[in-house]
Amino acid sequence: MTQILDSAVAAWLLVGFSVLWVALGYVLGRRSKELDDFMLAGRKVGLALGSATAMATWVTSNTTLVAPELAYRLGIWGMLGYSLGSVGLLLFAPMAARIRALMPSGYTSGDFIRLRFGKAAWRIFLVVSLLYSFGWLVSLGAAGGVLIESLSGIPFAIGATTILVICVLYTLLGGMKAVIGTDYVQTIIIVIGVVIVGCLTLTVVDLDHVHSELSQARPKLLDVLMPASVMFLFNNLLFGVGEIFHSNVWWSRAFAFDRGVGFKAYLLAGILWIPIPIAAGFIALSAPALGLGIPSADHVGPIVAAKILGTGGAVLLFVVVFSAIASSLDSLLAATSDLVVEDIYRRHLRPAASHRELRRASSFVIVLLGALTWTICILDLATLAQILHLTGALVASTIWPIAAGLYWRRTNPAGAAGAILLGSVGGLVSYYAIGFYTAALVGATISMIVVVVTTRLRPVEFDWDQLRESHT
Amino acid sequence: MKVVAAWMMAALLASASAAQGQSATLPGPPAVSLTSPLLDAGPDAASRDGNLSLLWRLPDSLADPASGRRSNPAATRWSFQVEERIGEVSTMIDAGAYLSTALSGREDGVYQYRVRALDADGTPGPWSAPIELRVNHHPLWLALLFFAIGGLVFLATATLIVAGHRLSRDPSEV
Repeated sequence: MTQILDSAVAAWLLVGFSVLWVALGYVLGRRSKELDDFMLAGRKVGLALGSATAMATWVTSNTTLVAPELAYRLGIWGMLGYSLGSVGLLLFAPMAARIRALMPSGYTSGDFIRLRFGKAAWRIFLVVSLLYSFGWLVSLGAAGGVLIESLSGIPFAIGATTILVICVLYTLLGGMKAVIGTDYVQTIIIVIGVVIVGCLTLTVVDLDHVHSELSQARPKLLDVLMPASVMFLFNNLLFGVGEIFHSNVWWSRAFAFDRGVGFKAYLLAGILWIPIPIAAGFIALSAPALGLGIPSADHVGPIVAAKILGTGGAVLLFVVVFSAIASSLDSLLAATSDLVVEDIYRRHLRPAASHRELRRASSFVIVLLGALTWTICILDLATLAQILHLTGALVASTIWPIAAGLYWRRTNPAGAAGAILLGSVGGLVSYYAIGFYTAALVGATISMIVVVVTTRLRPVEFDWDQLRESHT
Repeated sequence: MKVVAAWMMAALLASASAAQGQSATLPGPPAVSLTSPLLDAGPDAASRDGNLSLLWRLPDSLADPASGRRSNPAATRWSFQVEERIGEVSTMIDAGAYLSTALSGREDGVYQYRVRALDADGTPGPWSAPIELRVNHHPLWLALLFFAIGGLVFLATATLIVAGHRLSRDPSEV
């Protein structure tokens, strides 16, 4: 592998940012002693922090590394289609307000499913959610190792270990306040970094030359009717919607935001997120014009950035992607810990647990999740990463049960449970039979049909007050 | 996720793999220095999306296709050149010092590939044995069908949420 960044420089960047995030996390979260403070930042997060954390959490390693990859593989629609991931944030904006209004004392997305649809649907949902969360955790840890190794030659194990350790540490020290506070700083870094890289790319690369190279050597990348990319569009949109609608990462923020903030924060984050994958994707389309050897599609972003911007570009990319990974990893650790503690530990094992006990359990689970993630990452079971593709079918099948559950009083609970199951199965079949770019779409479609048909045939009246569960 | 999964992609230069098919149009064989080609178990001698991957190794390489990790001490000595042929049209592709290359945006057809190493002076070594890969895009009608279904599901979802949001000023009214 050709090394782009000097190992010593990369090591200093790693150490420097690690110290920064841990110190910031400690300072921001040192007063988070109570359960609500630790898990939900006291339920008083304002608009600026709210928007920043929503955006930073959704700018993941996938946005900065996979967006270029998809543009390189699927062309124009790959680049623009990835930005449709913002639709999930935009549609969640009104839902965040609804969630806050219906469940002022809520803690997790699991709480909603349990109270709205009963235990059967709740347990099916927990399996989906935990599978997705763990798959995403592993992919983020592995992406950290990949980034650091591909740019600097520092071994994968060291990079993955470092990023996991520092994220676990500052999440542990400060809980949700630390997560949201560091997200704010990471958002600024990401936005500035991507804008700089995008603008500099435009000054270095001749657009006519890019177009002619693509037309000649890779004509399908400019074909708006390339079948795989046409299939990819709404599949990616629905995958993103499913990820956001079901994941406790976003529900925990809806509970953490102050009243009236959720709607605006998610709307703003969705709008601000749109250009990020477009800028990242555009970089990839320049690769043929630059005559670069690309060993694997997922390396195209770092390689092109380094070519265009030299060592400075590699440093910038390193910092941006490192921030993107950290901003998502900490959110995922915190939110998954909330889900495990609330929905498994408290609801299944220790119903009488005090807030103090739950607070300790949260810390333990964060460490446990970090350790499990590290183990899987270090084993380097590459095929495990494909699990996240499979979860597209699972998470998309939760879209209609959740949306209809929030807005329709008569959604059939058994239908909701069946929708998640049947949607998941159908999506998985499509994944293997046709391709990864159809799984979420098929899962969401089947789920929608089941919810609508069962609710029409056998509506079940629900009292919204049942969602106002007190957490005593 | 996809970052690590992408590393599992196949391809490779087989020395005498009947399953891959020997091309009658490209001159043959094999280079002493480019030996022991390793065909990854992964996918795709056939591609449905125009993406193809080629992977090769040298005898002193530390490449490990099973894990996807590629380190290449030979990078200090070699660079690689790939020849792509479709029909009578031949194109040379600079693969740099990597032990693989990812190609995208190909149209339907049968593509033949072979690779050779270049030393520090740019002097080429002998070509490897060629392999054949096929691109066969999904039918457009299927893609448009998925597009239409996806659009419908999205519109229905958005309508539910927007309408529900408007009605839900008082939760008890819904």
